Amino acid sequence: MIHNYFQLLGIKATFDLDNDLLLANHRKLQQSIHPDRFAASSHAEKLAAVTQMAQINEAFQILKNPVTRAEYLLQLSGWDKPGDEQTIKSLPLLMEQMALREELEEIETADNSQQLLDVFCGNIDQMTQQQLQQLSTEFQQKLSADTIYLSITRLKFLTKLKSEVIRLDEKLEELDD
Amino acid sequence: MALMQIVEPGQTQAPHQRRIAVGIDLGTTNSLIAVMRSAVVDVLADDSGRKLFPSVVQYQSNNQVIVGEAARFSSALDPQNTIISVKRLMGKGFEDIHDFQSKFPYSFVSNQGVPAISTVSGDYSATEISAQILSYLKNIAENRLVDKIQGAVITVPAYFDDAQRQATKDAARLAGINVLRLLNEPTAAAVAYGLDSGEEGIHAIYDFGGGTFDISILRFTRGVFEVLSTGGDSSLGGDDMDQALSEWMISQLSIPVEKNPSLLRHVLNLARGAKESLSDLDEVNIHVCLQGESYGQLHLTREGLEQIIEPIVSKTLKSCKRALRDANLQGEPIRAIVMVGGSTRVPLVRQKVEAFFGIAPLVSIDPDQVVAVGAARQADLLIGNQPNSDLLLLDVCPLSLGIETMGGLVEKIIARNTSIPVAKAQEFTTFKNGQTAMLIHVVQGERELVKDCRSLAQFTLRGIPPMVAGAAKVKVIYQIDADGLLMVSAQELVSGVQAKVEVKPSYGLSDEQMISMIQASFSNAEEDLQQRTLCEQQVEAKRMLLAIEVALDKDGHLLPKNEFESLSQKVELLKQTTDSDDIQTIRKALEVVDKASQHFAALRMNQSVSQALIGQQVDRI
Repeated sequence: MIHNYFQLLGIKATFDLDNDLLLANHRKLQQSIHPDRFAASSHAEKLAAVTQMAQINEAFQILKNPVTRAEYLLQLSGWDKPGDEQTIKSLPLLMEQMALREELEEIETADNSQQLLDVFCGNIDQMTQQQLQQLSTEFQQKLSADTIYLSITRLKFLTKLKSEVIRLDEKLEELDD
Repeated sequence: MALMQIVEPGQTQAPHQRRIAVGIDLGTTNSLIAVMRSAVVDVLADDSGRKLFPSVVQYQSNNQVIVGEAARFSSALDPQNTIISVKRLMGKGFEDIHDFQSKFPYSFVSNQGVPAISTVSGDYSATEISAQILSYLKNIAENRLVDKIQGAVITVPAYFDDAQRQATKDAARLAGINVLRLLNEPTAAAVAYGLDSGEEGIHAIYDFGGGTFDISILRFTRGVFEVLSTGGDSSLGGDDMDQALSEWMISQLSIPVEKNPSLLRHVLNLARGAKESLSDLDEVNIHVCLQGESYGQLHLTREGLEQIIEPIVSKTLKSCKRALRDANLQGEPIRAIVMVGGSTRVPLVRQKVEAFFGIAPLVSIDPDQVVAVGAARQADLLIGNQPNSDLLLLDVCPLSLGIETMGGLVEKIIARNTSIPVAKAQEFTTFKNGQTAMLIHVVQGERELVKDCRSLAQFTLRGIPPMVAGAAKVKVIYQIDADGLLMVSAQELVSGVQAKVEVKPSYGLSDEQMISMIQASFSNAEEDLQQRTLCEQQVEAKRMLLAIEVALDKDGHLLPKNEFESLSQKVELLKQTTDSDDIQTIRKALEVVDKASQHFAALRMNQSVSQALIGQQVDRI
């Protein structure tokens, strides 16, 4: 039985993974394990297929996304994910989050919301890209799990902020009509 | 990960020769049934040559049930007992149907939170009414085909949630149909075109039917359809155009439709007729006249109609925009747009879609039939008639599934657009000292607050041993099968106490309800239920025997000798019981073999996983 998601999908356990290979292997596995391949098989085989496929899909989902992939790599190295009740220890990060949130709130009530939002959205995208780059470097330099987790936390925040940007964008569009 | 039971898999198929499986498009306005024979799909017709059967059911006072065209005819005369657009009610709770109540002249009663429509012959749920339509389709097919139907692929809108999918499956079971797979309608349409044209790349499926609008962005590569994103509106369709046009007519002519449901229905029918005519003609005259009484005449041009329906068409494009964004195509071009559903015959719809996507939509397959055609192809494949085909449909979970956490917040467990089937576990803990129970509330949607999402189910996990807050570890597992149906279970880990609960969607039917409904509504069916079940068990036993013998022959070496022998013995026992006429005996023998072969099946699946990735460099792993 294969327990490690990287092994399951046949790729090397690194943060900078081979995306094409991940996609190709996932595709190959789906081709041979998908329950539809076993629609005429015994109940036990269907069960085994759906269980195996479910695990493969979950592994793919975790590895495809850089944030969950990074967390998973930390977990593999024996690091325990802190619970939700644990607050962010980095003051600068906290300050930045508050400032960005405030900025987004101000955009919503501004006169030229759409324009400001487009600029804001561009900034978030750029920050996300830079943070991903930094995370990759941190993994290469084998920095401590706590340091890496701080990068992950910031990425998570940026992702969440991006979804709020999209929601506001939709809201503005609806107001437009 | 533990092995888990995933809802109920499709049952019987005889293990030999060519098997008959049909594709069913169970639509809001019309339904179709199709079958694949000698590599060609036939959309099946009734004796009068009709292939498009109105999804209309009329209940009469003499307990007769009329379905299809005949029922549609009576809709103006007997609106309260003639149910149209029942698909909009599928899987809905009583509190969800206000919109439906104001639009249709039915009287609803609540049956334990499930809405039922009161008719002269009794109260019927949406599942039962849909079962009548499915049963009607099945009869038409069995009249046309010599063989018995062994399985069906039934299509559902991509936007259908768990309860709606479950209700559809329940309706099929009520009608005695073995569901091989529920298939998203847009995916079915892509199958119909994809196989014919073999065109690789990104496809947009624009499905504008009678009662629902769906947009799906699919990627098709070397035999694989992959759903990149889905979107739409489960209450937007051609009916809304009819509604808008009829409202215009009523206000123009001041037609007194209040308290006159027959007249209202008549005006709706006229509106639909005028809309359909204006797809070919530039102008029409509408004369409102019912039972000898005239309410006046109207002249309507195509431009006039387009003004009235423009807001409805624009709404669909907004969903398209969102779906494109979700698909995250990064510049990859859209190769084709498949048009599905009768509403895509409206010229304005085609114009607007072409203008939005910048390419001309595909309309070569009849937009009313394209879903049924794709479903029939997939049914033929799943029943095992095309063992060499590489085609595989990969679906995603269209909406995120989450759990309620403290403060009415949603913690997402399975993100939208995750490939299915999938199982995901997450751990939670207790909030208070000594807490012995935990409420598990399953919600669906993208928003962060529980009140903005749809509640799918809730249950309480009891028997947690008293501990300090935060010490208990409750593992919640969400799993979605290939049909998109969800099962949720929870268990407390620290104490080792196995407290496990499984939820069915809120409006799913229990086996007992199912049996009593079958007896109540299909009591005059020629086949005795017992007999039917026995036959199914015998076929199932034979099928299982064949499958397992082939497997043992090929991969028996994977098992340790003693396990191999023990399994072989049990298989031998099953062989001796297959012709027994006692259902319980067969069922028991089946269960024994099933249980005994689970480990073997898992070993075989592991072998398949390794083989699928063979030929790769070892150092890459």
